[in-house]
Amino acid sequence: MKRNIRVIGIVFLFVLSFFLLQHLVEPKYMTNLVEGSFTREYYQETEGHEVIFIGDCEVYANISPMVLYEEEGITSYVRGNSQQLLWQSYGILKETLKYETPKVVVFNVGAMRYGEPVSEAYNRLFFDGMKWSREKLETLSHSMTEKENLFYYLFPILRYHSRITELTKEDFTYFFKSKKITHNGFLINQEVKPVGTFPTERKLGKDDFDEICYKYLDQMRILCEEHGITFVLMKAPSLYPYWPDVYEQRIQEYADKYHLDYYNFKEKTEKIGIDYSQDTYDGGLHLNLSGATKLSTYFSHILKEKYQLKDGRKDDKIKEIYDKKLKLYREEIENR
Amino acid sequence: MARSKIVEWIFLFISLFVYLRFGLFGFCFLSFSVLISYFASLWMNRKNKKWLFIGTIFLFVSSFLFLKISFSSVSSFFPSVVAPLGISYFTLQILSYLADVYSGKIKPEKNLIRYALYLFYFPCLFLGPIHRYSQFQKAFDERHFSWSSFLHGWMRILLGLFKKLIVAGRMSIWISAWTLHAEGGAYALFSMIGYSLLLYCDFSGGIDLVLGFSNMLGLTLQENFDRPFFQTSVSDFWNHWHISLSRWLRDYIYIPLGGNRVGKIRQKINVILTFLVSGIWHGTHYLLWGLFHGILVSFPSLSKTPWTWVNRLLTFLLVSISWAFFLYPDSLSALQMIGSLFTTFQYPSFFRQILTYGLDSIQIGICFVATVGLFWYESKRTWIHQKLKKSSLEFQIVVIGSLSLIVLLFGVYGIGFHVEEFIYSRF
Repeated sequence: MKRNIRVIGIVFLFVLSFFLLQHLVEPKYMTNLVEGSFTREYYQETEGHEVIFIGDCEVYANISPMVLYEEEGITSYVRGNSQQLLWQSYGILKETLKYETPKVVVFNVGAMRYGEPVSEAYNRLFFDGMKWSREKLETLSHSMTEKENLFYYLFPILRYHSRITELTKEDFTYFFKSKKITHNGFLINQEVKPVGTFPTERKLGKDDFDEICYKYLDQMRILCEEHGITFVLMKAPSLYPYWPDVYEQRIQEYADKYHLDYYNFKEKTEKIGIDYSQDTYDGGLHLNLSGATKLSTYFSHILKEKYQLKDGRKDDKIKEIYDKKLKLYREEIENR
Repeated sequence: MARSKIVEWIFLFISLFVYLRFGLFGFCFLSFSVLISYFASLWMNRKNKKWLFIGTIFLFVSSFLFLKISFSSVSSFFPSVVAPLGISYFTLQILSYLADVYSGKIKPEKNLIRYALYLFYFPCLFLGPIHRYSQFQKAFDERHFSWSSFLHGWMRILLGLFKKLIVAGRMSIWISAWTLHAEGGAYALFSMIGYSLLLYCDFSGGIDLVLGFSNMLGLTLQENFDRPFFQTSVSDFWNHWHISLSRWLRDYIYIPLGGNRVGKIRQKINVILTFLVSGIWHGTHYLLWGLFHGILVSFPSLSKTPWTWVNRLLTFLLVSISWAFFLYPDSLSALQMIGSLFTTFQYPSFFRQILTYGLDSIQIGICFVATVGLFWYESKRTWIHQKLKKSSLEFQIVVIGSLSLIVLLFGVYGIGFHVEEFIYSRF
């Protein structure tokens, strides 16, 4: 009996060591490649939201939920990540609906351009912080590139073991703790880089999106219908990658066909007040804090007016939570 | 059905499934070979057995040569024809079986399942070892699953992974960089020495996986390596390196040629001929390599000194230099690189740039410590195994757990690395 306990104890110690070492070599995404922490941060939310934004970098850089709250009392969250593909957006929406049922889901259509997995690095940023669930498995199976396999995700040590010789202070500092990177999914960037010249547009070779993109767009729309959620489409005012007229036409046709609201903010930049010499941090690809504030202010009025959203500022519980969030938001802006 | 028969069926079924996964053509070809050799062995009891033996040997050797050695030229005309995986291993086992039946050493196996399992046993598919029928059946009949054999097998697998992932994985990065330096000299010398370690760790590591996996199933198969780099002559090296192939060549080429029973000159010619066959078996490009070893084994005084350690070092260096034929694309480049060892040196520049060949100082340190640790283990292997055997279950679990974590953390594997590929599996 004593021997059995000893054996079980030793095995347990090794299993524990395995998981501790695995955690040590996993990237912490706190100071470098911070996008890797976006998916995980959502699980810290204690209350639901009225609006959920889904999409790629065109949402997490351009829509600030804090501004939406300040302006109209709208509670919202951005579930977006770098190069988030359609099936990943569908997966993250499905997962989100397990935790809450928002009134409106806004999907940024920029990712409709991409019909196949792009790279392992983007996959890791999206999946590393995602909780294990059926949604994760399904989304993974569609997202993995040829070189990847499920074991690398099940046991990240198999993917990151080589970091054992490249560990930095970050790996130890954030071994047991983590810091907030985003503000309800919005990443603050206050740098300014005016619009410059962009690479020549690549020939698209086709005048429509891939079938698979429509398939997942349909699934997101249906999922929202099933949950009684208003599904809204938007296109952020990014100047690059290009958004050709033919794409605009296809999205408009889709929105008309299913009676969806579609907002292309690229066509409303003057009205919003975006100045591309001041309001972008990377020459027009993404908006900076100033640009995002302008866009979010503009959109907050539309959302409030059109979808009769609740004013969270009148709810004591929400107000208390968001006051804390706003304090942190302002502090970060001031400290930068 | 008896329990052992059920086990045989399960093993065979899994093996056939594995073979089938590597292509229908290869699977059909090998299955057909099993049937032909099976019936040929049964009919060898009758009259005209000499012609039947010669006929079947000719059939298997010619099909092997057609598919394996002339494959590159054949493939341009028949792109769909690819050499079945494991054909070398398969052919050598069939030839040894037929020769043993013909000479009366063993009786032909009447049970087709047992015979098919001997040839199809899937862990040996990529690397061997090459078994004799009697050995394999003995191991199979005496198989005995126990926790002790399971743990022993597990440790063996971890040892194999240690060699393959920690040492060979890093060595291959270095060698890929060094062989790019066409000027040779120090680059060629370290490529050859490194390749010795790489090939040993890759090949013997793979064999450790095969033997370890078999151990876990309760089977004790033949060893294929026994500290080859501790040997003091090239002849001894061959008694300890790829033992199953060396013994196969000895029993089915060297001895039938006359072996030691002939005059001294004829004996030396027989040795050289045997190594030439070994060279051809690896591919026509390796004829000179076979000749080189044939001469060194025939004339041991060429590499003999009165000092054991010098002999050990000399043997290692000679064997390493001979790998040039494996390392470079053709015999001429291999000869040029061997020549460069004596004409082009470049040692200062080689060492000055040591950190630019793909491994940083930490990686070099890991590789060095792992190699030293491996050779220390090999030098104390018997003692370590005895200690482990006598040790408590708790201690064995600690060893397994620690080795597992070391391999997991310090192994070179993952995206961009093809750990499933073994250098020797292409022969």
